[in-house]
Amino acid sequence: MKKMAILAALLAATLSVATPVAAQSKDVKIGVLLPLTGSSAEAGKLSKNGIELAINTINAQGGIKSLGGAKLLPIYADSAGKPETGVMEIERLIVKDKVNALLGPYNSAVAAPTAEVAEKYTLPYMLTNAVADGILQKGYKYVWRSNQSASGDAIDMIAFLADIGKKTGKPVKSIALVYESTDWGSSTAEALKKIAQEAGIAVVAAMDYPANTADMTSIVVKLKSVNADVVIPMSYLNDALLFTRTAAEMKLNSAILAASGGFSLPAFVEKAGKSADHVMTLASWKPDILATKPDSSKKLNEDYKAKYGSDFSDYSANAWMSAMVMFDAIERAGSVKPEAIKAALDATDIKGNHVALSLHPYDAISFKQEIRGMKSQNIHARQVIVQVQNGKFRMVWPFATAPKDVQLVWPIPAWSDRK
Amino acid sequence: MESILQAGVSGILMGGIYSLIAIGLSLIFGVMRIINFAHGEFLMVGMYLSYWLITLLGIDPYVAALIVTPVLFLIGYAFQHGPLNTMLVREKTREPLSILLYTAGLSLVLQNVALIWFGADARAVSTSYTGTTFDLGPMIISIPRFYAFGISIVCTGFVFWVLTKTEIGRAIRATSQDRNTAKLMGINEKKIYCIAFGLGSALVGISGALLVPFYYIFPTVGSVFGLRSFIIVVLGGVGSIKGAFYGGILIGLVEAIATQFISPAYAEIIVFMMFVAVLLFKPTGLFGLEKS
Repeated sequence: MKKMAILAALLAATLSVATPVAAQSKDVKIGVLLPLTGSSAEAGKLSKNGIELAINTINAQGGIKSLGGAKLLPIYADSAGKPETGVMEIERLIVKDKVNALLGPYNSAVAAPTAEVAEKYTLPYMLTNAVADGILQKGYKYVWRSNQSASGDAIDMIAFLADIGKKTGKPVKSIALVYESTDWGSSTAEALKKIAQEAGIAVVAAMDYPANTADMTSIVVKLKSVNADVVIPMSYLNDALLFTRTAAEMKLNSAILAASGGFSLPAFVEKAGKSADHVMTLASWKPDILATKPDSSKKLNEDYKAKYGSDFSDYSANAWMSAMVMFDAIERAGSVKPEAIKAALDATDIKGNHVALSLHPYDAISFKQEIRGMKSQNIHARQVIVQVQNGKFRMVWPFATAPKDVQLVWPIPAWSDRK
Repeated sequence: MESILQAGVSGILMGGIYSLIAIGLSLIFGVMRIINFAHGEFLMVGMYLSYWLITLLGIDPYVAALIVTPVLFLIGYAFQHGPLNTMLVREKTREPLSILLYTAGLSLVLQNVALIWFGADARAVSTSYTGTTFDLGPMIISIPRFYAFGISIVCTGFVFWVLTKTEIGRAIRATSQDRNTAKLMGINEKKIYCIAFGLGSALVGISGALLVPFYYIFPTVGSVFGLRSFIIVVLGGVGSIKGAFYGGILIGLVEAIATQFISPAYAEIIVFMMFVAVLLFKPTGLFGLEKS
């Protein structure tokens, strides 16, 4: 008798759980894998903000119309920035939560193994922020990337250096590289070496160093002795701050053009203070880009600011765009079947005033063409260059789209000429 | 040539800080025969403490050092007095392995608590010393690093004086040479342990305070300097104060000079190779000094 009662209670409990799930089955479930804890938690949080805002925007406008106004339902998972945790969590999203599409994961090191999982389960996976070329060189059918790739970063940086000469008549003849000995650092450095040589710019030093170092004085001393026109550092925030401060102390007169990383974070200008003056960095997004954008884009940034307390940043803007590209494909697919979403993503042909282009300095998004061995990479992705002027990141390149009131300071004044 | 000179001088200055951190570790090991794996995290605690003192009270970073040092002494003393001595009593018949594991666990606890309380972001204080330099011939010397080096030397001298010339120091040395005999001679070994651990922690505390004007503070900062201090202690001869001092200067110098000829990543490999070679061929330490 007692057993029967327990059984009945269990059955009732199961039913009461099952019913609301069934009622919500119209929702489109979006699995979002990000480093919400661990050392890249800050970037993970920014990425999450971007995705959350994109989902709220779509839901507020009536959801996915081709699916009868189905709402987007995010399901977040934490990779902690670790490949093995990422693999476990993405499996959980796919198998247990039965998500319809995947977004994430910021870290390139997490992207590589999780892309393998998405491919195995044939579930559409839009990379956000993870830049390594290698991920898309595997030729996966279910993995896409809207933002720039690592080799694209190198191409954009060298293009900028070549443009400097054309514009100012004071060309860059030599560069020196300082990179942390990680996947990201060494792959970007390799790409830079190759592309710089093709552009006729000499690479006079290339130094790898262990990330999170105690002292960068000896590195800066070496850089002073090679005296390159431009030094290109690749570091995350702690090292970026240490490098910049040490370069100022030791009066390193080479210009600094960082390959994004820690140098592009708002915390960099805040904490490096005066030593960051005239430092240039590659960036995916900065508020100055809005100068050439319609009012709706400015409104979007205001919405972001109202909700999260700051402007969009590189990571939140990339995440927002990647999510919008995915949602656009689901809308066009009119189905949550993986093959249907895949076909729609492959056919992506976003141009002009499309909402997904609200923030970025691209004129299109499309995955049709292979580029540098990468399948499903947006070939129109471009980065911008910003320079720290009076404690703010100001967009200086491409010269044509940079705000009119901003001028690239070039050549960089020697330390002896600064006040 | 100029750049080698400049790198050498900068390396020696940085080596002074490495030395001070390593001396604390070596002292604790010499007396208790336990490696304090949380040594780097005590450094982190010292750095956050002086960060808050400087930002909240607006005091000079070197005045903050005067507060941080005794506070860390008390933390170290209490830490030994409470959990470690309890465990020592429990394990007096065998090697105190669980203490080793305990300090390793503590380092993870401290790191993660700092991560939750203070966040993963690096913090920095711009003090009036930050970024200031003076010229020495063709060389540029960073003033906060110069001060840190000078204070390190003074502290090392002080520790050496305490160990060789004072009653407490003699008791510490006696305990480190033979704890049972020391006990028979009427030395209160538990109290000596507490003082030694307190002194080691005070040294790492002052190192933290000296780093703050030119380095950044983040929850895992302990591992940046902690690993180096283990290597230095081994290079200099485990338990030797002089050895740890010279070892620190040597590591600073090797890192700086190797960077000029090969890459910084290789400089680190050279340091590790020295570590492995010393363990294998000269386990008493590179300088063959007597334990002090």
